[in-house]
Amino acid sequence: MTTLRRRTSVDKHLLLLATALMFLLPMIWMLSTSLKPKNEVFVFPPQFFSMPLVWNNYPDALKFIDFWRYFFNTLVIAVLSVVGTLVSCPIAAYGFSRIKWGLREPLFYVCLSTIMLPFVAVMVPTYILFNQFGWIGNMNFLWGWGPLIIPTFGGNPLYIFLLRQFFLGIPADLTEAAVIDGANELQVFVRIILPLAKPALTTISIFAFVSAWTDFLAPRLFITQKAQYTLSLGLLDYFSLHQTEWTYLMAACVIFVLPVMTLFFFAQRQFVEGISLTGIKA
Amino acid sequence: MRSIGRNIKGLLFIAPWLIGFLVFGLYPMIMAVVLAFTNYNILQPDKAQFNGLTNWNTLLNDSLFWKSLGNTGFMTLAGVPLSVGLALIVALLLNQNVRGISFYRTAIFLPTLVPPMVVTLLFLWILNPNYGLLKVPFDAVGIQSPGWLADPAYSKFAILLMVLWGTTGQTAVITLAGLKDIPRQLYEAASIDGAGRWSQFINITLPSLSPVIFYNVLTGALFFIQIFTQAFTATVGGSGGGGTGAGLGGPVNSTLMMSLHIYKVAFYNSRAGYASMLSLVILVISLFLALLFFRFARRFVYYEYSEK
Repeated sequence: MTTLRRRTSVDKHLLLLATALMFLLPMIWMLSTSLKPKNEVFVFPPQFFSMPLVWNNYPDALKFIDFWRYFFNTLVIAVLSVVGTLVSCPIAAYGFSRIKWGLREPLFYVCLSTIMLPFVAVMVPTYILFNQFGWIGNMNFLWGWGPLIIPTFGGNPLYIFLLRQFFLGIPADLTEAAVIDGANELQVFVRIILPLAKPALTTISIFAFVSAWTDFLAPRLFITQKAQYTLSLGLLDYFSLHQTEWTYLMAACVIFVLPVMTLFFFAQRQFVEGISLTGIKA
Repeated sequence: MRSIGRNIKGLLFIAPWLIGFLVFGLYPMIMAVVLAFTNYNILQPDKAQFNGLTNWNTLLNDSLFWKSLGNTGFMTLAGVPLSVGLALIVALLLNQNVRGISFYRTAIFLPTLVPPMVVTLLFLWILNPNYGLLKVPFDAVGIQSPGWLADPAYSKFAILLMVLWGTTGQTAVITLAGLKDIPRQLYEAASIDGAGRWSQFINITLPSLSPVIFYNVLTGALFFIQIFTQAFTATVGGSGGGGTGAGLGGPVNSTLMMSLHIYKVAFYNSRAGYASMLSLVILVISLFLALLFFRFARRFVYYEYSEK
């Protein structure tokens, strides 16, 4: 019989630290590049932080492209996507969980199966559809952003699924009393279920925000007016130069990442628990 | 009569999803099938005509299609085991009982918050063959650093590297949650019976984790089949952002993924009809994946009800 030596606590920490470093180093490198003088970027072997740090890279980088406009665009799109998600997903999840009706199960299976529908396979007809709606290249911002925002009002099957799981876990007694008191389905939904579901609603809001904030393919396909660009699209402006300014590009990337990181540190639990749920209960 | 009323009520509640599904899901899917048999041109939609199996024959003789199928196939077959395996190792590390574990978990999760666009730009810089951070370890052992995205032999590995960095944290958190759900008693009983750590891993951990691993494999496959942003940006960024799309999928088409091929055919060549035929290939592959998913889901739903 072979006996494995029990690893000491120090060994465990070293292993974990090495793993964590592999994941952190690229981000530290991003930060370090963003604070370097231009002439030190192409010094090899590289130094991580050389004094003094060039904080001026930040204002310079943000002047280089129309950064704040792209930032603001992305923010508006992300916030409206959250609104769309909150309008559509909870009510659908309620219909799929707390009302008993004959077509419920077959339709829910249809809903679930769309999780597996690859967007790439329908991007061309979707583009044609949005073009027929007059949304592609529309100078009006809300219509121009329509392809990114309006579909969120049609719900997202994964979020509906997560909410449904949560709603199923709410005891029936809680709503039965209200029904006896004469409350209708909509009142039960709004007054009882929604307040109880706040943690789950927070989770899907975060997911919707992050996915809108970080998306590239959909904006790339549907947004053609430069004034309506999101950050993911706008960052490519840095490549229009003769030589890529890595300090500026990295500085812009740091600012781009910051809102999501901030959100994460405030709502770490919802992030991690939400992501765990997607895997386990699916 | 009551059942009709209930169905109407149910339908009203799910109406937002149902309308969204019909307009943004089902309709484009049917359109894709119809367009695949036409010569639809995005610039001249009025002149669209059915052209039978012309697109299918074009596909069979399109060397770029086969190239892209091979590239996407390689990414999927290499990427899925790597990402699921790496996530399992990381999750096992994070499942240890040591102080400060939440710090490590946060560190490993943070990259998943970085937009794919930024991940790609960052790795364009890290993998820079002359000044990039990853040249340091190669220099240290005295090996010539590969050209990564400039070299067709390494470009796919470069993309794999950035994808793994950006997604492992999320897959690991899912796997970790699965690990935490395994009842402790199973391990206690096994160690009383004298089972070693390896035997416990093979006989308890892996079987208990199989639903989670299966889920990771499916979502991973779905991700890699559609991979776009990394391949697109890596080649646009490297080629100075040219407007013709000629550099997309380079070098020598080694990163031309199926998604990228569809994109180029539809939007640079304006051949939406043929692009739809290409899309059908992805649709059929994912349909197959969805069938697998449901066979699995049914078994799992059963589990859940039996618990209650």
